[in-house]
Amino acid sequence: MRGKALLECMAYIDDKLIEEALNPPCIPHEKNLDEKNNKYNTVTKWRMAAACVLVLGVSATAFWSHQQQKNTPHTENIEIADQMDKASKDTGDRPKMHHNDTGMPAESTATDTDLYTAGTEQDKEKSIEDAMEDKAPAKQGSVYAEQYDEENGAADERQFAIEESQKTSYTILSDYYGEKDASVYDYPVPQKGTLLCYHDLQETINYYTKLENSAASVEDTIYAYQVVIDLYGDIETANGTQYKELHYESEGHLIIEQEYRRLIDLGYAVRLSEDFQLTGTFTKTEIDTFPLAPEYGYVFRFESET
Amino acid sequence: MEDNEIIELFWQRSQRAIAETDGKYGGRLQSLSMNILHDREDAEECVNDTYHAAWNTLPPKRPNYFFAYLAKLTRNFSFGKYDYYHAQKRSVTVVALSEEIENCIPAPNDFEQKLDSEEIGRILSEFLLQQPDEMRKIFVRRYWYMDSIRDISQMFHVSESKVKSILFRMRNKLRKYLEEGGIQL
Repeated sequence: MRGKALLECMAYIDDKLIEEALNPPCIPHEKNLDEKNNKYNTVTKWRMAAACVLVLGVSATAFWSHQQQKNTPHTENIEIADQMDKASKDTGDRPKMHHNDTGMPAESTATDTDLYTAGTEQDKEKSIEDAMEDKAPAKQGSVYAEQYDEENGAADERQFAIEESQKTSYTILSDYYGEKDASVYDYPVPQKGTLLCYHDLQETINYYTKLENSAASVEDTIYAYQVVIDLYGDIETANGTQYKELHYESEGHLIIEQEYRRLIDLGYAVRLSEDFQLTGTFTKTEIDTFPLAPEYGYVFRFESET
Repeated sequence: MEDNEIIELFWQRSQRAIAETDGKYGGRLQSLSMNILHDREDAEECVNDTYHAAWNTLPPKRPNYFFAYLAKLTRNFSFGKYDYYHAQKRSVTVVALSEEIENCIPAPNDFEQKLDSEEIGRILSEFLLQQPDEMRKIFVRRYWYMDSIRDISQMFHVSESKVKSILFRMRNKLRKYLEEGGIQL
């Protein structure tokens, strides 16, 4: 009954408190409530606005990212075309092979005649074909124009590059073109700053060069040669410095790797095997204009040719 | 009509005083009594008893807070009727025996008892005046006017849970306040 007693004692509270509670401060409270509602509405509006901005931002970012992904292949094609164009300009002949980040050639398909066509080359050709089919030579031409105007600005070279780009097929040869005989060749050690092509490779180059220049040649075909590069250089031995084939010397592996990186930097399609055998794919012109290092001697040969 | 004018009618012994009072505060007094008794007829009876008591006490009294004065009368009548009914429900025999034995024992010291209740009421007033307005009014609405939680929440435009929370905190504060003041109920 303590509670009831207290409740009854409430009867003796100040009359002022009773009067005050008679009319609850609805108006001030409602005012406060309105203020709260106004604050709530304001906050809600800002939150909604922020959410909208966030959604728009995310959408825009996603759309931009998507567009970037869509545009990437196109850009690569243009870059490939630029590389081909630049290669043609540098060599004055054929565009060089495109290589991937590992320095290895892209996926290729072998044929019955031991000739194969590189997949990346097909991609290049396709991009060029697409550009032509899309009636976009102006765009393609503009890419070439920018490239050439920066350096030479020669219209004939630009025209040449376009013509080169129209050659849509790369044929890579990795062995002698004809029947091998039992001949044995005694090759000299290449002097520093020189390049020596072994017999089979040289004969094959000559053969296809003639074929290329003949009336019966297939216009769209560019010939490239899969070669092994033997590198000669100075090696420090117990007997002093000796000029030797670096592949067989453990001290020479570092030099081979350095040369490999130099060629990669120059844009050549060269590879380096685990046993430090340097190989590459070159057109005739690339071989003719190969950037020889003066301290090394080079042998270019087919793999089957020893 | 203003409270002073109604009081003046009481002083003038005008029959309009009852009518004006009923017109202005009849509904609220009825509601207050209903909150305690939950019976319309009993509530009306308590309100009529209030008017009768007011007629008898005005004059000589001239309350500053007229409604509070009337409401206290109504509340007391309502609690009296409440006690009467609950006593009947407990046991008619007990009530009868109680009334009998009351004639045998000395009457309780009403002055002292009233003084104690008034003292507690004064302490309660002090406590309530220290509280924030909204919390104080909610407390009074609940424990003086005997309003329901729902009515209070609608009256103050707050949720029922908030009303319960406020009342809970107020009770705890009051208990602590009474304990610190050495008040025993």
